[in-house]
Amino acid sequence: MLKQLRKGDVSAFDTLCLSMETQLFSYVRHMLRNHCEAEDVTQEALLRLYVAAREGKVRSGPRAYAFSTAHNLVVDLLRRSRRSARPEGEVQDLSGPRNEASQSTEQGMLRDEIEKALATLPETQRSALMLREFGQLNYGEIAQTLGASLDQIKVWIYRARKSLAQVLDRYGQFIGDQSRGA
Amino acid sequence: MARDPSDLSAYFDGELSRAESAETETWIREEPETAKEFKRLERSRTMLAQCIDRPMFHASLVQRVRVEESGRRKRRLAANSLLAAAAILLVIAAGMLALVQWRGADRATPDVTKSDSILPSSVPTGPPSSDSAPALAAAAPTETTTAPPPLDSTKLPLELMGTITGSNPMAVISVEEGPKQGPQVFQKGDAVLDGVSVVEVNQNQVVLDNHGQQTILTCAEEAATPTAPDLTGLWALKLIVGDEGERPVGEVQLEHSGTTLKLYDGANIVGEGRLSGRNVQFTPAQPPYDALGTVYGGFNSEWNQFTAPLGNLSQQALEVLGFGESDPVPRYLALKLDRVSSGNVESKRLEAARLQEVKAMLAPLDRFALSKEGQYPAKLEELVPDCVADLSLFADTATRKVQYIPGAVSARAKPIAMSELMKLDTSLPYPDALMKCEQALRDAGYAKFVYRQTVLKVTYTEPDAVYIGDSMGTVNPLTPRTDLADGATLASCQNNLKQLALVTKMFENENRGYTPPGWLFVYPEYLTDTTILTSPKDEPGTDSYLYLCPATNIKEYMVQAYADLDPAALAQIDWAQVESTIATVMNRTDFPNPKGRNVAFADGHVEFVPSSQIPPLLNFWSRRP
Repeated sequence: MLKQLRKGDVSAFDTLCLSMETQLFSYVRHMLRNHCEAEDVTQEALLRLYVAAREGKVRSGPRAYAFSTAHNLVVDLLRRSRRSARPEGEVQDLSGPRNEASQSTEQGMLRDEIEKALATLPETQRSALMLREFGQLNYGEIAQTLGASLDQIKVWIYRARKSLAQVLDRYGQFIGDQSRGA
Repeated sequence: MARDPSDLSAYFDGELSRAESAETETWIREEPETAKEFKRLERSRTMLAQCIDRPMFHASLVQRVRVEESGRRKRRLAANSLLAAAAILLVIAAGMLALVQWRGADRATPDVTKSDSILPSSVPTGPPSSDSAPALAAAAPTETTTAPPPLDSTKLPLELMGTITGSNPMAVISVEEGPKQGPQVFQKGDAVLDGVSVVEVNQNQVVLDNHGQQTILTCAEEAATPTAPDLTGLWALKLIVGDEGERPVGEVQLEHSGTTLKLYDGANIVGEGRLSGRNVQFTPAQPPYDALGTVYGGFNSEWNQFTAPLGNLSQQALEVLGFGESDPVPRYLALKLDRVSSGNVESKRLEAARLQEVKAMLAPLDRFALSKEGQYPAKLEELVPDCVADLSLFADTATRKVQYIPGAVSARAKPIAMSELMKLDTSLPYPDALMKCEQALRDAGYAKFVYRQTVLKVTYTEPDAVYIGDSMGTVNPLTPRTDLADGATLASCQNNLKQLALVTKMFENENRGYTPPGWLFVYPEYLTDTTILTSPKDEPGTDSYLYLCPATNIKEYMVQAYADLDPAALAQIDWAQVESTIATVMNRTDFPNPKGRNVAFADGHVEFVPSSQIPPLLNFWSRRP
């Protein structure tokens, strides 16, 4: 695939995008919590992957490269937005256009809960977990991307999963109460 | 032993060593609390699958990359052109230098002879010609006894075109007869003809050894003003635009008369050029085009071709020829000047005029379609008086016969925004509901999308030619592509189907697994080259491929089709294998090969299916896959 990209094969890029853009976009969207910015950053990361591959600069796998590029872009963007002091309570455009339909369902509620739980996680834990789950990166690649040790990554991912498990427990209890009430 | 709970999550991520994994497995087995914790963590993994979102930018991103790639190629092409131009300049500079040296030497010769007092003042000066050489040779022995004997001019069929002296002297000698015919560069010692070699290269003369006898070859006197090349008659300047390695896709004609060149695009003069030295300076012939640019390039010695980089024709010129900036495919451009017969140019002009005529007939039809939601008139009379004053334009004449094919739907008047489609899609999540939606679209005329449906057929009698106008407003001469062998046609048709299958797949990927309701919904986001909708054997504009599974989610459909099976049997089904048996697109037209047709399947593969196996594939809904 990288060889084809290096030759400037746009169809190879097309295939590559199809294979990873959904996960990459999901990762960026959860990190930024803004749908529009997430689309921009994802596209930028994929374009940078293409340019780097064209110039033969992608040493690791394209997936790892795209995710670490996206992570760096996300970090930059978050840093800039913190500097420009986004007002407290500003509504984050987390929902994409497709979320408008059938969000009142049980599935939609669960999703809301998960997203809230993810948002409350420390940034490092959130990054590590999502790089693992969406990016399918191994711990070594995550450690390289986040600039942390393997042990730290292991602990961050564990803690993030534990927090999410608690949400699921609470949600299960809530659903149980609801059904009992009915 | 202290146990690290984070090993539990690292365990199902496969990040533990074999020993650590074994240890963790034992830990989970032995301690019920740990097993419970492990299950909780594992469930949390599946939760994240709820949060996957599909972005909507895929097509635009790929398009951006395509444009970027095109830019890269253009830049590379420009760089190569610059290098080539630099090389040409160097060659020209070297030639000029040689010329200056040669002419300088001509002028210097008298001074040298005078100052050195080798020759008496009565000796003729100037470049040594065949006449003056013996005189020079005869005068020399008066001063020195070692001077070579006078050399005779050669009688060989050779012409000295020029010399370059210095550390590496060279001579350009034109051989007028024999296998080595034509101008070539020779150095000292090189064989010019059999038994004839170069002994010495001097300014404007070469000493040859002809079977042991030395003769002298002198440069022919150059005319005071370079004669214009013989370009009498008609010439065609072919502007060839295409991707590297591809066949030429564009052509303009050029008519030459004296030093004026006229550039034609069909019947229209788009520019006039004037020969200036070896350059052609084009000026615009029509107001919208500011300048056609200057075509620089070295004609070769035969003055029959030259090439120019893309940048040397202005953007407007390319737009005239239909290759604007929007064209994403990187192009190279070459200009070739060929002598053509006047008949060829005449026939091309006649063809262009006929195309204009058919276009003029299509224009009122298009105007009608645009005002009537895409419907063409049932009868030509409906065009009067809003679209055309009278129908004489469409009347048959002694030389042509006009046939109007009513009932076509103009594709141009049928755009539907992708956002509109997405609205329908998201509000109707199930196949049956979506089928209702498709029916609604069909009722509204959208699903009856016809691509480039033939609306007009004009047959000329003298000489025989047929032109067809289509619902996209284009006119094509009807030329059945009989040049393609059956095998090549079959392969070309399969390529079309593969691309259509890919287009369907891309649409599915971005629309929750639903296939497009028709080709209208994939154009132009997914399907940019609409010519792939026509089989290579068909007339241009034919809707050659039958789309068999509009607007359904194939995976959901398969699950429904097998819903009556018990779960155990359901689990045994290889869905990928099932998908590979569902036909999605098929060659609709009567393919010349009676043995079968090309069919694209839901998994994207294309195969040639024997005729006996076609019927069960035709109705997507009537059978369980």
